[in-house]
Amino acid sequence: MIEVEELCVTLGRREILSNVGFTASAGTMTVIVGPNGSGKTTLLRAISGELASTGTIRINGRDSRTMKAFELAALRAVLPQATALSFPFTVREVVGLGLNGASAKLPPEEVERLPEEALRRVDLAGFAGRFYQELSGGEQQRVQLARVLCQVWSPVTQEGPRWLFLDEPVSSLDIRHQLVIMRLAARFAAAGGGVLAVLHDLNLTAMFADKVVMMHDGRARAIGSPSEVLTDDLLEDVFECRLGVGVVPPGPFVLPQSATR
Amino acid sequence: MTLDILLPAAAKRRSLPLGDRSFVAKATIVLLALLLLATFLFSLTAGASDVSPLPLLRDLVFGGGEVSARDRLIIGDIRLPRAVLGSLVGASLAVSGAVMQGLFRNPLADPGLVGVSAGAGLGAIIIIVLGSGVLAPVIAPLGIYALPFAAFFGGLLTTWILYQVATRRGQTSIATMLLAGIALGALAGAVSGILVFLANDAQLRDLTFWGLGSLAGATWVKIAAAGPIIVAALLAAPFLARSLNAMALGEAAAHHLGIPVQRMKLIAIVTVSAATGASVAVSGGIGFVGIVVPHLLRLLIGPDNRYLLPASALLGAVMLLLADAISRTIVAPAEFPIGIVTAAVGAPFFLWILLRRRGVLDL
Repeated sequence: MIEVEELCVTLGRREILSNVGFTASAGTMTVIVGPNGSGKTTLLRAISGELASTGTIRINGRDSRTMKAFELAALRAVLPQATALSFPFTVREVVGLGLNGASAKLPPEEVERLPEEALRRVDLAGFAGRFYQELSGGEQQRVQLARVLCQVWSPVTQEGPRWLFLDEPVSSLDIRHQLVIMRLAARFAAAGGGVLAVLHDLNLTAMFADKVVMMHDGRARAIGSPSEVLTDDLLEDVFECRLGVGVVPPGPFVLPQSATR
Repeated sequence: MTLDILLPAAAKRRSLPLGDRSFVAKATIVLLALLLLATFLFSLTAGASDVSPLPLLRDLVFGGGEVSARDRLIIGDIRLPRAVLGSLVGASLAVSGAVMQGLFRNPLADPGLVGVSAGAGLGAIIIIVLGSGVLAPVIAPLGIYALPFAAFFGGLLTTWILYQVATRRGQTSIATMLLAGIALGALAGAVSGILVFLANDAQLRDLTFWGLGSLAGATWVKIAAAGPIIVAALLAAPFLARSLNAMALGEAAAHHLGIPVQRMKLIAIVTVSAATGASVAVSGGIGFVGIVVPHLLRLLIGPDNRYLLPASALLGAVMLLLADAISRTIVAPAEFPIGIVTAAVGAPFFLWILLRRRGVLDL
């Protein structure tokens, strides 16, 4: 369980987040949505301990601010929006960095096997020997996800559920890989881990989220299930454009746009 | 480009996991250790006087007294301390370069390029010029350690200022770092210039010897003064390896991976300053070792600091011993300043690597 209460982040004189509060349960996927600049990424960075903040952040019941870097690393892995790499590492070496932490007290066979296995899960089997910088943006994003997966390989440990924090994990992926990655995250949650993701795609959010936190101007505007949060009125209010939320009716249906003659 | 061309046949036969260069790295370290041993013995033979260390070794192991007192003196009191000091300085320069490159996440970072050596030099010059005058009461208790410690604090101060100037919100700007380094180096050079201007004749002679960059003054006393600092820094460096690897992803990602980033940066800065300061104190400004050695090794074994740091120490020592051998023999019986040798050999070599492997280095 992640509990966030009265979370505020101030950069300079500007308050980026004000009094955000929500909970995220292990075994589910919690998705943060909202327009550009609404504080989604800031919220995730504050929870991951990267930004200074006030208020309460508890991970599995512990105040995250009192935890050391290595203790946090054993509980949660963070996929940033973009990662620049400064030296010519191979894909395998980048993924292996996920096993770098003090938390990785793994037998050598696992250290050898996990990176390959993680790459296979993000659909990059056979890429281990390539240089990271040779890959496309979408491939690099998936390599980083494989690294993050290695860090919290077992979704549940003796210390409780572990967490994946994903900041726009599918932003540069094609539609097939968007599904591959979202299913991967859903499986992590189904196995008992917790997923906290920032997403821009409202369709994927509706499809995969168990809980949606909709951010607007640094505040949590609405919190609830996708059908509770993704409504015409809320979307218009937050995104400032009139959208129609559609629901696929049960049973067969025929779209008039599919007519070819 | 795949790694096939970098992997020797032996490594392929062992069916390594794809993209895992650790076997090549370990093999390289073993080979470099043997190479260092060979170079070390070779450097005992090279020089104006034709003395071979082999009879001396035989003498040491089996006894027998074949070696004359003069040869014993040349080897034991002149060449041996010089080879020991050369190895220590070479290792420390190369490791400083590698650690600094990892810390700044930039392959161009080098204590010589970004003014840390100049800062350390200023510290040393202050002791040489003011040590017998104004500062005498302060440095008297430090004895032979005054010079390396002053160089260490000069380097430390410069690195700290550099990091503060170049880093904003956890991001280190490379352009700012290089420019700030040039400014700090120039400032340290200006203050050093004032001190040189104030120096008397005897001090000027000391400064000239020191400033040319040379191992010529190697004595057991110097090794006793600088050696412990260098050895401590070299021993500390491997503990930074995992943290530096994580730093390649940026400070935030390193934190997420469980690295105590602030503490690690502090340790890295102190380590680099100690190694650079002590080296500069005993050998003056010897350039290019810190940048060429880690670069070459990254091409060969990859950027994993767990292997890069020890390999850099070994290859740095080898390179400096060879450069010193050249400096002693090329105009024998006179000596050429080693700083000129490393720059004259290192700079074109560096350009050649850049041109040949531009694709990989840009990565």
